Formats: sequence, structure tokens, C-alpha cells
Amino acid sequence: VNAPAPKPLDNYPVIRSRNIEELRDAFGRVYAKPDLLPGSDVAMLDATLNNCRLRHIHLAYVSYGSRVRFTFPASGMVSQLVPLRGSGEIVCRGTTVTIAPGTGAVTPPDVGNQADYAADFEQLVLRFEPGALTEKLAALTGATIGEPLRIGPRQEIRHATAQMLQQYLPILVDTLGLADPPFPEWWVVQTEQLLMTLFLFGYRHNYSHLLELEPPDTAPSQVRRAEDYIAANAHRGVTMEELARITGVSAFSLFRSFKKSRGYSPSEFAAKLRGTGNDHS
Amino acid sequence: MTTPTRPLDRFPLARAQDAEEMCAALAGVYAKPEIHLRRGTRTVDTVLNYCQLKHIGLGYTKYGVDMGVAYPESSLTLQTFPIRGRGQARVGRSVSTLNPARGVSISPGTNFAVKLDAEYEHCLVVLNTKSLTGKLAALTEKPIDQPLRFDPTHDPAPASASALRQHSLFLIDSVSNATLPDLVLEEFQQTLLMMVLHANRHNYSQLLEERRLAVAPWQIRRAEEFIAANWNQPIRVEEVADAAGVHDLALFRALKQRRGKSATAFAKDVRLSRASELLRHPETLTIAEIAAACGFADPATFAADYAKAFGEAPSQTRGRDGAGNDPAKH
Repeated sequence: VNAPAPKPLDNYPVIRSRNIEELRDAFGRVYAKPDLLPGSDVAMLDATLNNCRLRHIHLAYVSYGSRVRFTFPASGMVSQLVPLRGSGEIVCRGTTVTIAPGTGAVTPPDVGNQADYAADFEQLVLRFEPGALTEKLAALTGATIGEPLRIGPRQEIRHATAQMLQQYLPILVDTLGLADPPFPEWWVVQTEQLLMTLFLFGYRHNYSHLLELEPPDTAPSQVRRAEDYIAANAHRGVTMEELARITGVSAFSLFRSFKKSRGYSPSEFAAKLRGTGNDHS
Repeated sequence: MTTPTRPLDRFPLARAQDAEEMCAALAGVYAKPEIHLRRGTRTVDTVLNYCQLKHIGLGYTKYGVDMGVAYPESSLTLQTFPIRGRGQARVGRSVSTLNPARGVSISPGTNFAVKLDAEYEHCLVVLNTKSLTGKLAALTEKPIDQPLRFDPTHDPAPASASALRQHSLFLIDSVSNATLPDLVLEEFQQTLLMMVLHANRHNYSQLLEERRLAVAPWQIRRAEEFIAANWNQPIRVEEVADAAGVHDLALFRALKQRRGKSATAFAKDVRLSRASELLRHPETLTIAEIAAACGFADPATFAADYAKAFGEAPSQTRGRDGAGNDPAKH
């Protein structure tokens, strides 16, 4: 008999089963018990559900091995879906969101959702207690959080922090897989703080404007483009006029945004690349 | 021609052919080294990138030629993560190899020397010692009066060393590719400070280990909730510890300290008091049925445990309260 292929978070198993009733019960124990919808292919089911609980946050891995369609009741948790393989569809609050690797969706704590997952679908699910998120939000913004956090279900993951969270989860899964639990309380606390910060900064919600008061200062794309051009032509001198032409902004405004976002001028950058220290050409 | 992007290329600090210039750049980041080139070699081919954040600095270095580098003591803490090539490091009297699986950890006030081949490249994290001891004080909840000293003879635990490397390289990669909000950078720096303290063996490791086995009040509460919610089933300590997210030995000790009894004894108490309630209830369950319902397989053991806990037999409780309260008898 072949041993089953290892899956993420296998050292935190909830269930590995071909039986739909067992799987539903297992979901009920750690999340919320779903109802099965027509269209599911339960005869071919080969599901894995792993779940690592930190303190106010859970990280779960789930795969089904066959197409499944579920209705999940409200779970009381804010759930961030991070697909790893395959595709699926979530219907929540009347909005349909298609999910696949590189995209995601979030389901709120107070309403259920319908899920339709392809046979090869696999995902990580990061679940937050809403109270912990509200507390973190208050700490980050210094504001009193009255109205509950409203987020999702549809998400933009264009923001650098959202991408960072998506790329960070596999590293956290590795760490959780390698280490020998239980983790020290201080390790758990710090890891949760990091996850909540990435989540709250990464995705748009009804309090995002409070977090954006901090100047986001994403280096303007012209600065990035100018840097790439300077680096590609490091062997020769590049004039400000050339940079203005390839970035499409005036030399003066490019100089200013370079200085503001990097703390040095384009020519200082070029000098550093050439290794000539203080070159004012 | 575009050179392939190296880590932190957006933050160039030096591109030096001149060895003296390279040393000056390294001095600005960590400490001014003394270098030894092979006979006949006059120039280096060094790329040094460096991004200073609030508590830590993130760097990348390629030296470009075979060389020996000897660093004097610095007030900073240094952690290196080789990504290519090979080398050898001497920290105090202990010598270790440098390769992509293994770098060095240098605590403040420690000199060290490395020998590197021309292929060698590494990423590095320089930690502000005040931030690091601040984190240590917060984690141990004790004042830090002796300076932090890593033990160079002690290999870090592979799991936490690998986690530290992955996290460090991930932050370097993220910073290389995007400008992130200050508060996000702050939180990630806090995580790295914690991981450096966790991964290295040092003079405060023992204190941290004690805190690891400490059980927080919320964990005891969660253990008790778990026991109460599963009162009608036999419970294993491992399950309770798992639900509370603590080491079973630590939980066992904490419950004992707080309640004066073990988790299993606490669970039995919960089941016995539930049995006692049922006995007082004017329902028609027999004593054997109640025993079974409360997770006691053997009615005789149940009776003995019950008598020990309440000073009377189950039948006496039933006779006095159960029957007496039965409205049908009035």
C-alpha cells in the first residue's frame, strides 16, 4: 500500500476521509458543519482537512479529491481563502467570486456562503476571530472601532502587502510543519500580530482609510523604471533627458520623486552602481 | 545588457573594485574589517546592497574574489545567510563551515573571521542591539542586565534555524520588490527579532525555555472549557493539551498548581458532579445508567469514586434528594 502523499500541515490532522458524513462532521468540529448541495461527486471523495490553531487565528489546509458543492453556515470567523491549486467559486452576500491560485476571497463571520470546488482544488484557509482583528485595528489606528469590520468577499490582491501575505503563508506552513509544537506563547502572540497586520493592510475594508493616513509612499513607477534603465546602462553615462524620455515625466519631477522616495538623486544612484563613490557627472 | 537582479539591488551601497573602498562600506554597515587577499590579487569585485529599517538592516554581499575577512568587535548583532559558494568561519575558538545551509550568528562584542571562495554570496541581517534586548526583556518579562551572548559552540536547532533563514530571506525579497507600509515592516522586524532569540542558543535561552513551558491563564481556561464540553467522554491529557495549545506536561503541572489536581482528576470531578446532579433529578435513569452516561464503564468503580468525592453512596444521594424532590411522590 502506498503511503498517501504528504500535504501541508499534515502534523495538525483533523481528518483524512472518503466519507462525506465524516468530512462534514470534521468541518463542524473545527469550523462550521456544511450541507451538501446537488452536483457534488461524493463517490470519488478523498478529502484532507488539517487545522493548526494558534490562539485567535487558525490556519487550515483542505483538499477534496472530487468536485464538491457545499453551503456553509455562518462560522463566526473572518476567513481568508488562499487557493493553492485548481479553481472554485464562492457565493457570499449575493456576490459570486471565482478563486484560483494568485487570487482569493474572504468570507465574513456573520453570514454563510456557498462553495463549489473543482476536483483538484486545494487551499489554505486563514481564519481570524473578529474580536482579535478589531483589537488589532484599534491598536494600529488609535481609533475606536465601533462599527464591525466589513471586508470582502471579493478581494484585490494588487497591494504589495496582500501579495506579501499570500507568499508568506507557505513559509508559515513550513515553519509550523518543521517545528515541534506547542509553540511558546510569545511565538504564537507575535505570529498572530504579524498575520493580522498583513491582513488589515493588504485588503480593502471599511477602515482602510485610517490605515492609509500613513503615507503609503510606494516609489512611483517612474522611479522604478528609471532605476532599471540606469542599471541596464550602468557601463555608460545616462543623461537626465534620456531618463525623462523613457519615464515620460519631466527631468525635474523625476529628480524630485527620486530624491523623495530613495533619499538620493538618479546620478548618485548611477555612481553607486559604477562603484565610483562620489561622482557628480 | 541587464545584469540579473540580485537581492536588494534597489539599495546599492557599494560596487567596489578597490579593497579599501569595500572595507569603508562594510564599516558603515557593521564594523571595519581587515582583509587578506591571495598573493597576486590586487582588486576585489564587490557588490554590497543595504537597506536600513528601524530595528534591523537588511543586506546582500558578493565579494567576488577568494579572501579572508576579519571583523573586530561590534556593538551590533549579525546574522548571515549564505546563498552561494563556500567558506569557513571562526567565532571565538569554534570553527564552522559556511554554506547555503549554514551561516553565522554573531552577538555584540564578539570578533570573528571568515575565509570565502570567489563564488561566495550571502544575505545578512544586522540587528540593533537595543531593539533586540528590548524584545528579550518583553519576552522574558525580566530586566536584561547582562549583555546578550550567543554560544558559538552550540548549533542552533535545525527547525528554528531554518525558520529564521526562510523568514529573513523572505523579508529581504519582499523589500527588494516593493515598498511596504511602515507598520507592516515594523511587525515583520518584531517577528525577526523574536526568531533570532528563539533560534540561537544564548545566556537567556534557559529563561525563554521556562517561559515556553509557562501556561497562560487563557490556556488553562481553554483546557477547562474543553474538559467541561466533553464531560461525558473519557478524555486523554494529550487532547486537552492540544485544545489549549500547550505542552501536556506543562498543562498537567499548571492545572495541578491551580486546582491542586491533575487534568484527569479534574475531568473525573466534572463527571462526578454531573452524575450527582442527575441523581438529584426526578428522572427514571437507574444509577448504572447514570454511571454509564457520565463515562464510567464500571458501576462499582463509579460508586467507589462517588463515595470518595461526596462522602456518601450514589443511592444515598438519590434516596435523599432524588426521591424526595419527585413531585409524583407528593
